[in-house]
Amino acid sequence: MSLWLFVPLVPLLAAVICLRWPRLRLLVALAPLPALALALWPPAAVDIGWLWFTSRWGAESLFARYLLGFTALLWTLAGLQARLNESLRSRRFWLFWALSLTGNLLLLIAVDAASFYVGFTLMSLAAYGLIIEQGGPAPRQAGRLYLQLAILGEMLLFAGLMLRLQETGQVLLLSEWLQIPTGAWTTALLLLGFGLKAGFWPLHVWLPLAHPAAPAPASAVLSGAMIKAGVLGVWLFMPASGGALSPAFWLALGLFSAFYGALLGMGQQQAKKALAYSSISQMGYLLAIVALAWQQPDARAGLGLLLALFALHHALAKGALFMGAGLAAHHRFHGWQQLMLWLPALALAGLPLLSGGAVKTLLKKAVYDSDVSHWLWLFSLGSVATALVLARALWLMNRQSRAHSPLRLSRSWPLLVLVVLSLLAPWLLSSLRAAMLDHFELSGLWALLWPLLVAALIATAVWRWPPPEKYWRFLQASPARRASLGVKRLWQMPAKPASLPKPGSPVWRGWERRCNRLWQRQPLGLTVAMMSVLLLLGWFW
Amino acid sequence: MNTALLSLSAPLLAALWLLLTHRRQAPVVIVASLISLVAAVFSLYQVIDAGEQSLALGGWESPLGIRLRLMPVSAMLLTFTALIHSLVGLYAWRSRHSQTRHTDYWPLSCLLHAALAALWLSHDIFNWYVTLELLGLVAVVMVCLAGPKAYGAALRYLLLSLAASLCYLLGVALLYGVYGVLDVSLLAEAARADPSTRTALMLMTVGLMLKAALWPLHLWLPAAHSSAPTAVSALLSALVVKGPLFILWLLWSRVAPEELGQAAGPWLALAGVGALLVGGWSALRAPLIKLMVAYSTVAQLGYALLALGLMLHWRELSLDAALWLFVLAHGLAKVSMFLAAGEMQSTLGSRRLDSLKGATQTMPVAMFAFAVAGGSLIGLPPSGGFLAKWLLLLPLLQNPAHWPWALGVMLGTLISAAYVFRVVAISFDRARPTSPDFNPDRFAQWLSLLPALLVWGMALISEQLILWLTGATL
Amino acid sequence: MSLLWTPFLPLAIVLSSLIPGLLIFTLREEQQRTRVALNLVGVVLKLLLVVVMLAGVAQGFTFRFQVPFLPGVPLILQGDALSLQFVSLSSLLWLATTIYAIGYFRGSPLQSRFFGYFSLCVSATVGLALAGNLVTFLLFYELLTLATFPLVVHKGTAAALDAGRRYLAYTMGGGTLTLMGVALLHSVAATPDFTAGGYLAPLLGEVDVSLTLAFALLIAGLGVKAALVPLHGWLPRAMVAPAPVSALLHAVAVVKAGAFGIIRVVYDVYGVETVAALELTRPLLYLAGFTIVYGSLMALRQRDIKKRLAFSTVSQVSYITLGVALLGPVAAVGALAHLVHQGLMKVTLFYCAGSFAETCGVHQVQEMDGLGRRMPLTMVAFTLAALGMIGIPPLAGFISKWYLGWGALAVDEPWVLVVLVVSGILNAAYFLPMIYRGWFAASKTGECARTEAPAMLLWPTLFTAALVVLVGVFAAFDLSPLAWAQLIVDREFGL
Repeated sequence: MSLWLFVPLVPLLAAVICLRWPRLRLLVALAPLPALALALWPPAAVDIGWLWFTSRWGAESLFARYLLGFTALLWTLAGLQARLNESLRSRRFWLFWALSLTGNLLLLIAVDAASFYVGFTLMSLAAYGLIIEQGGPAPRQAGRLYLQLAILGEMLLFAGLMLRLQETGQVLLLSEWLQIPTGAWTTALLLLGFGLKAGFWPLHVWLPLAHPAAPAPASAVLSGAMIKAGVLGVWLFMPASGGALSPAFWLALGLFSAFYGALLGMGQQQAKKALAYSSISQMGYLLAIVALAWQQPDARAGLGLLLALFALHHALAKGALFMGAGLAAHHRFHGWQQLMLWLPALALAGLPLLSGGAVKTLLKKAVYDSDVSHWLWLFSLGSVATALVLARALWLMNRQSRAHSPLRLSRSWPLLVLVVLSLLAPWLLSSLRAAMLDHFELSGLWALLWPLLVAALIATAVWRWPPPEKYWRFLQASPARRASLGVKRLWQMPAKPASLPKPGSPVWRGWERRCNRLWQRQPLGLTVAMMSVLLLLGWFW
Repeated sequence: MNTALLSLSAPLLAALWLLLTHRRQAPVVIVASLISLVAAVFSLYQVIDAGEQSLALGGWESPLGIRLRLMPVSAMLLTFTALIHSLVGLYAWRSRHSQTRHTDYWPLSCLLHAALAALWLSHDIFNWYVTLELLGLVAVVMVCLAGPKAYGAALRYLLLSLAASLCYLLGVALLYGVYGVLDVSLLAEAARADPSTRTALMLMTVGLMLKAALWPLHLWLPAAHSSAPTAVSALLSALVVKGPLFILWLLWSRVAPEELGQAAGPWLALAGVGALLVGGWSALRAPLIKLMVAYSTVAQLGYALLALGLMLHWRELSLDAALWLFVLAHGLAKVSMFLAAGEMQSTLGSRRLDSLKGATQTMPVAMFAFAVAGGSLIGLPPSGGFLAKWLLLLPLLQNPAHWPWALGVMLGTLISAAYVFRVVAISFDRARPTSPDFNPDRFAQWLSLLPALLVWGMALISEQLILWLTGATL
Repeated sequence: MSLLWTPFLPLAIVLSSLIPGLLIFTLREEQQRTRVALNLVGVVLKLLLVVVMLAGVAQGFTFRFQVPFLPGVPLILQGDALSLQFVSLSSLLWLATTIYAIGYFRGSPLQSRFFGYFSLCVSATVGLALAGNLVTFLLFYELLTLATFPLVVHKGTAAALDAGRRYLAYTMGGGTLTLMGVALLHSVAATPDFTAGGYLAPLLGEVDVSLTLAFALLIAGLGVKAALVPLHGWLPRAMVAPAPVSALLHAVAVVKAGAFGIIRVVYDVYGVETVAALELTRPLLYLAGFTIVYGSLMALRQRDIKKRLAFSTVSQVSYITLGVALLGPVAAVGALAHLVHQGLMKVTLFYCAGSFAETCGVHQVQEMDGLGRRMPLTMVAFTLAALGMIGIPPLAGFISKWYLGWGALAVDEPWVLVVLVVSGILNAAYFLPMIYRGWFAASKTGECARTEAPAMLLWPTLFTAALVVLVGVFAAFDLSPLAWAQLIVDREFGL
């Protein structure tokens, strides 16, 4: 029995135990720990011969270990935070929590495509339960849209996977797929399928609805861990040289998504919604990194590491922000506690010494080294936008939390741990440490700081002279929600009216009756006539 | 041959004994029919072992004397007749609902048996006339046993039967006039395809078709068969109509010149398809239980006629086996069906089909018998009906030009399924079941199931049966 | 293995349900215990015999029982890999359904009749699976029609009778067409045993018209039971039957008999090469694809739970036909695996529907609100089976869909993928609202007391639901339906 089996089995087992004894929620919250341990000290990958189409689980590369590690960590802390929340006590929530967790961990340790797909689907569908946990119209609508898109994505992904398998000659091992080119249909299907999860523009529509609707810890894992699976899928399933479309297109799409998310995020009235848009924006960066890797397949290893680090940084910071936003809805952050919100926000904005600064430096370096170095200014501009969204989010949180009771540390220690870990991350991870030491040069420092300063200026200006509400309102419209409702109505086709038995035609019945009467009254005459006819016919025959 | 004669004489003697002593002793009849059955089985064995046998009565050789001839088919029919007679006799004796227990059914049924046996054994067109006449008269009298309400049907039956006999007799006279012989074998040697032979055959065929109630001359049958007492209906449907059919078969396959047969074949076959469709349709629409069963006889005879016609047309001798299998399967199934129908009709107290509602609960065995027998009529495997249909279908399907005939068979199957299951479906109606007027008779119900099981049991010996029949009818 | 008794094993498998069935007919209503005992003895005996046969066939033994029937056409019962796939499914589900039915009918009238026909029905199914040539197949095919009819009309109401009449009209029509097809084939090629790879190849080019017509007749006849559009009309109406009947009808007996027949005809009578040479399967392929989508669309329009499930069956059974008609070994694996997978999933769904109706009086989709609280375990089973139907990994339906998709691409028919995707989405569109109502919507009547179905209804449901998960997760296991399907295909295609 390999240790890797424990990664999905422990959460499943915890879910079962929790169903029976709901008070043991702690078990579910701690269920990612085996995965964390295996990410730190990974054993060799293992073949599992009896599982679906024979599968292979493991996490050998640094890339995979980073992903597994931060995902497990985020899930653990979010789980602990959720355990502290009195309103999250239903067995249903914890069941779905454990199932999503299982799926997420499974897809990370999957080395073969089938296991990845299984984990991905499990995670996708189970997350529905997290989104609609709080009940009421908004979560229901958000959940409906999410589920519709998840199923659609699932099916498209299935088709894409089938096509891809056909191209690769039914080899399930993902590492073998890198060198095999792919066709236009496969590209389209895979990117749609994964994109619907990853949530970059224009496949992001469910994200702004789902995040505010879900409980805060769920939003944290949704945004921090789950949507990364979409990008990971694209990264693993597509060949190293990208799909049928040129990588520049994807790069442009990623950047557009980054700006689009930031722009819309600035206009939101809810903190979690602004954070959700910020996630869309950040996913755009991840897509851009993937596109860069496609552009220069030789640099794939380095860019892969960058991808993992970016995801890690975003997961920790965005997770902390979402959890903070959840707490801010009911509690007041006072004094140093404000740091629990400010530090992750600044990290995301890319302040030096924090994880964001290091990651941004690495990203800019990667862009600088690539063919599209002339797009570098776009990335800087993007930093401004990111900082502005976060400023908006912080302002909204602050406004929300003013009236409430003060926050006690006993209710928020997982958040504190997460913030501390995100502070420590650049020092603990060697690759980030190097980057951070890099940006202590003056030019590097300036490159990181000027977007922040610009953003601070703009934010102050807007704060002093706020633009009228009506300019913002269009940003909050949600055509997707209406479309989703339309789809639901379409599905609920009117029931087919029960068909009534048709009464026999009276004309026809009349004829039948007349014939019957004739046979019954005149059998003799008729028979004799018939005999004569037959004999006559015979005569002439 | 002696055993065959015994099989013929046992019922004859029983009939005479009963008539002379003015008694209505059921056991005598049953014993006689059983003796006849045993004798017939022995004769069947003999034929299988030793082939055809013939006997000149009184030592007079043909053309002067009367010659009896025991062919394999006749031996089989002898057995079949005795079997059915004993079964029906047992029913008429033991069933509480039998309307014939204290009537003249007993001597008459023996006479009927004897007449049929004589018919199977005769090999002479005039003898056939005599037996046909006897058969017809006895049948008419037996229909009258049901009382005044059957007199109308019986009278019509009598008149048409006489007309048919007349037709047949005319044909016989014509043939005798032309060839001067009556014996079938001699006629077969002498027959030429000239107009007078053709006219004679024509007359005889029309007469026989009327007697056998073959479409379109079937109009007398439903009324007569459905108004007769149950036991009589069973005998009439299972046995009596088969007599003229046997003559028709021998006439066309042995006596008629080949080219005449070839020309007449398609017409006979068409009449067969017509019978299948029209009879089936009428059965489907019949409002009374026994009327439906009677119409189904009309329909089923269509298969036999179809087989006969196509056999004549293509000289496809394997169809003979199909024909006789049809006769056997239909006879057994029809006995079962009539007994079950009669039993249900008298227990439930109504002649209408609607009264069968809930019959699966109130009279499960009878209904089961009805359905099982119906299965054979439809031709569900592995029943006797299926074997016959299989033999009929194979030559039809071999050549794409023959496929339209197969379509006829298919339609016949569908329509028979429709009328059988119409009844079965009604019997499952639990909403307003008809409650029995008095306690259902278990023995009679089981008895009615017996022939149905026999017809399905033909599957056990099907291969030998088919091979033997194919050889025997050549 | 001694040679003396091996020929009688297939016969014993058929008789193990036939004899108890006939005995049950003779029981009086109140002899409940004897009836249950007879049923269970038959079930267990059959399962044991099937296990013995499975072990034998896995080692390459063939079991063959033969009696003469028609000249040149004996009746043959024969256990090969393909028949065992179906036999094991039938026996296993017979076990579950018998227990379910005993619980379901507790205290209701006419039980002897019901269980008698029920056993006959299973005997016919098993006989059909074990049939060694077309005539034997035809025989059991017709017997199945007869044995099922009393089950369909068991309730004896006007609606039940109407459904029964329609059922008969369709199936007798189908049976007649099948008979014609069988007879036509016999007249050109006699009726040898089913042979892996078919036996009609030598006749190619001589009697192509007959072969084509016979194929059309056979497929039309079998398509009635397999509920191919436009021959599916009986199936949704037959839903008036009691739940165990629907379950067995949909999962095993009737629809599968049709699908199994199509498999036999394509693989063992015609053979893939002959079918391909005559280009016979293309219309069948399109028809199956159309049926899949059409069935799902119609299911969306149903408000009655059982009717929705019925149309879902129409759709899902055609996956099997589709897989067969693709003519590739991979698609064949998918089709054969789906034979079992669909059975398990659909039987579970029908058990659940029956439990909902019996325990909570829920018949309509709208009434399912809050069922998850009232009957959580049943609802779990329902959810698992429904997700399996959609094709959510790693449940049973996913495995078959995977192989069908792969198989379609392997023979270069990418449009099948579109069918699978559309069907998956439609399946989700009609199953997910039911799951949603069950788990997430609050009951309108306010009832939320836990009223789980009685144990005899619950355990079979959970058993089959567990199988739905297990056959999916352990698909690569040596004895899984998928592995067995692979074995069959290896033998059929001579790989």
